Amino acid sequence: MTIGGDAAGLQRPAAVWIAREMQRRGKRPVLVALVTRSSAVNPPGEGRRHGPWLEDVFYRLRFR
Amino acid sequence: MSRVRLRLVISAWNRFWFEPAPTSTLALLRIALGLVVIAWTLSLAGDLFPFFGRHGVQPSPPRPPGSWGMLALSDGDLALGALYASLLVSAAALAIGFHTRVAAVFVFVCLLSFERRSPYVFNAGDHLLRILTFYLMLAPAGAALSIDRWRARQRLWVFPARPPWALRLMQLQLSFVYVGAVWAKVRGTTWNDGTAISYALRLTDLERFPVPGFVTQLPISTLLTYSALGIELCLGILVWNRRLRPWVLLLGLLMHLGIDWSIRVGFFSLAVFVMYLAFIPPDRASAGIVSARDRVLAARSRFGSRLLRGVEREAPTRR
Repeated sequence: MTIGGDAAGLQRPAAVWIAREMQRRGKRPVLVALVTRSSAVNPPGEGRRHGPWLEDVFYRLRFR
Repeated sequence: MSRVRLRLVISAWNRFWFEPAPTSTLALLRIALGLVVIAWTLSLAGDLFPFFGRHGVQPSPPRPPGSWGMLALSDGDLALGALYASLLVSAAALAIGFHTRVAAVFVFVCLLSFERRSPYVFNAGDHLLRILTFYLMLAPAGAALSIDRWRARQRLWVFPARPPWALRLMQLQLSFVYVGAVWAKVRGTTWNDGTAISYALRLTDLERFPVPGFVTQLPISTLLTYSALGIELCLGILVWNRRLRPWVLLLGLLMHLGIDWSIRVGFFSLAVFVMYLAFIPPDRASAGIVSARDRVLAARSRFGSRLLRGVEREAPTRR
């Protein structure tokens, strides 16, 4: 799921939820970064299934 | 239009929507839908609080104008747990036909509430389940093969005739789903140039089981792409032809099994298969149910007599 566009309001709650899950496992998060990881599927017949994976940080939330 | 022709049209319209038909098809569909909703509900168990809870990834539901749901009233953990349990119990009640109408209303409201609470986690298959439940809520779904019938001290293996208009709505829904799908696809690029299936089968994050490489290559994938469009168009239109219907539905069944094998589409295929049941002619459905019952009874009596023979053989040695 990409949390962008109409779902932009989900970015902060999702980051908070991830931090809380980390805390439950005994970790102390200082930064949660939400990243899109994408790769273009090549047209059929071009050998490789898809191109290189690209990562883009689209949201950061710092914790003290 | 002449008056005679108008009368013919009106008569055909009335026959299509309102001429009473045995409720065996509806009973099969109700049982199947109830079982699928039970599986759907169980599949949510692990993600219930992260997806729908106040402390999950979406603390408050989106509120587009006019939308409603039970979790808009209260979305605390207790309310969420109660809604989940209600859905599970009412889906089971729907499957066995216990207070069928009330169960169908509960299932519809619960499904709607979950889908409104976190719309981002659902796909078309989930919406299709909710739509089918809506139609079932309007239908005499408990008239046959149900606890309701047994409680009313009526013969269980009789399928009373009722106007089939709610079942007709489900059939039309199936037609619209496929014609709409074809319409949406032909307006794109990859379905027109024959590469759509190749792309779909190479989406790593949706892949269930890998398909052989040659399937995603051009001659085969082009054939599969145009075949899928053709099958969907046939399902939307030719399914109304009595002679072609079984073949068209068989093609659809194979197509969706193929999709489900290679791509993780959640409950989409199961929801579609439930919808296919709406096209089983009532007399066929009645005969099939009675024959299945007879086979079960025969197997049970064979098993019973074998058990009895075993007991008789063992009896002397025990003495």
